[in-house]
Amino acid sequence: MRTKIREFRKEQKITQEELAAMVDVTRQTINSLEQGKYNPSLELAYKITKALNKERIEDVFIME
Amino acid sequence: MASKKIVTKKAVMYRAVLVIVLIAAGLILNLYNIGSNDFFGYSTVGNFLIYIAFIMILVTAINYFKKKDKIIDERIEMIRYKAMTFTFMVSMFAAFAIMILDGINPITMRYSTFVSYAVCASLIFYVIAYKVIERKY
Repeated sequence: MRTKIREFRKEQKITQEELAAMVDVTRQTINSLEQGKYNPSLELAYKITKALNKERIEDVFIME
Repeated sequence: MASKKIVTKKAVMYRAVLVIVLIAAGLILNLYNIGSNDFFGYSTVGNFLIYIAFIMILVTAINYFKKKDKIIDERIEMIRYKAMTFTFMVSMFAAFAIMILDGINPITMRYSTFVSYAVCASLIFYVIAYKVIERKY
């Protein structure tokens, strides 16, 4: 799975730590998601999408 | 499941209760002279339990005064689960190997010593597995 977390995060000038605090996970988890090492649960994907002010999960997470 | 767990005063209270139970058990064993008189160099089993209790106090105090929030999220839970599964599998293979080795050359080690080695080995395997899996995910 590919994600656009880093891209949207940079757009909104949010650090990994800030995003992690917003969705109640560790900074390492955000880093893993950005690198495509870890696939999130539906709940976490939804929280991240909302935190990044996006409408749909598919906008942030792309299945390849 | 994204969850955030923080080490709170409640957790410290549970540990305090466990420490009190360990010290009480140690004192009772010493009082009634129960258990081996040569237990891992701690003279008695009771003294060993009291020693473990003080180690727990030290570790809990260090964690408490660090005042660092410990976040357990879904990725960490997944890593823990995988590390536990790996440790369990290693334990099974080790048990099988020990059974065969015992059949070839009987193990004469004391039961308490053997179990303590087994527990330490399991913990070491768990930590190694955790670190390795953490790098992967």
